[in-house]
Amino acid sequence: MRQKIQGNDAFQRINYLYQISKAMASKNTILSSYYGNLVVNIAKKNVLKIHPEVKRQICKKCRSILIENVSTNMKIRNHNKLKRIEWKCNICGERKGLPAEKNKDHRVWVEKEEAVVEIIK
Amino acid sequence: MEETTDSFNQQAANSIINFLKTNVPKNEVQKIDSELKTELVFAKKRSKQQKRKPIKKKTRCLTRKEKKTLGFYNIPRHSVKYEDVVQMNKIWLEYITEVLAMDEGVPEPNSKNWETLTLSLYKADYHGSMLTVVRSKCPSFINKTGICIMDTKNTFKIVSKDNIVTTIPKKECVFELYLKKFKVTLFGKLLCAKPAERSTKKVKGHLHPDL
Ligand SMILES: [Zn+2]
Repeated sequence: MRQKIQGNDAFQRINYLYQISKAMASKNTILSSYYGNLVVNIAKKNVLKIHPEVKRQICKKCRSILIENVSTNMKIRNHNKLKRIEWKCNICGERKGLPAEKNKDHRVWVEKEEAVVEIIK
Repeated sequence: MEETTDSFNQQAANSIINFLKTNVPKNEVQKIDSELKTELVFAKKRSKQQKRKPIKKKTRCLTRKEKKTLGFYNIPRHSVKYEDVVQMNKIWLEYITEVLAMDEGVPEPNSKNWETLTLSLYKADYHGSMLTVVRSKCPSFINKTGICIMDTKNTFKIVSKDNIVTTIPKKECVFELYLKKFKVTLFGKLLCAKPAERSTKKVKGHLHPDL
């Protein structure tokens, strides 16, 4: 028997919706952003945190999935002498930026090795 | 231009003063001129301060109007192709077998595990499922088959094999779907909730059969 995890069904749902949103990104942008919107809403309703890696791929404004050369264009820009990656959404035109300095570790705590305590299968 | 507006304002002011003079009681007529000359100090100050602070609005999400212009609300009848959606159906089958834990076998009806199965089926997602309408109050919906692409509070939007998008009301219909060997019958009446809210909503225990 599997161990029970709190909010597991919602996590599975988010995972599934993320997958289909990614699959539909090149075919139908409206549906893709509709599923992305659902991901955010389900996480809100169940009070869960979306994993930062997924969250970075969702447009802040229209909530569609950002895929390079399909729904977004990437640029590297200098901002206050620091390098930043910038994505511009092709649907709504919103920009999204993240710091990308070569010698620095920009990972969030959740992504680091010490954050993983136990893996449940 | 300024001169003409000034003269117009002067005219208006004069007409108001005349109006006051005729309508105010006699013993107060003399006060009018002195009353008009008094300046209200705070009236001017306030307007200046308001101009200094323009309110900045930060819009993060799309507003309803912007969404409408981007075409988020209407999905045209022929806009979605069936071939694109088939891929979604494949992913959905994997997802649903994981959610219901079908690999471990299906529990006996009326046992304890049966309830958890139905509960997880209720909380599952139906985007990408192959739905067939079995019973409906409206006879034209019966036997419509397609892959669900949208799930709103009261309707399912499905794409049939001939690339046509149809909207089906949940309340009046009974749906059927196939999971490998099993046939699942869904009563649309019980699925009436927003897809995001359904996962936290409490389920009513008993089903009242239709007449
Ligand atoms: Zn966007």
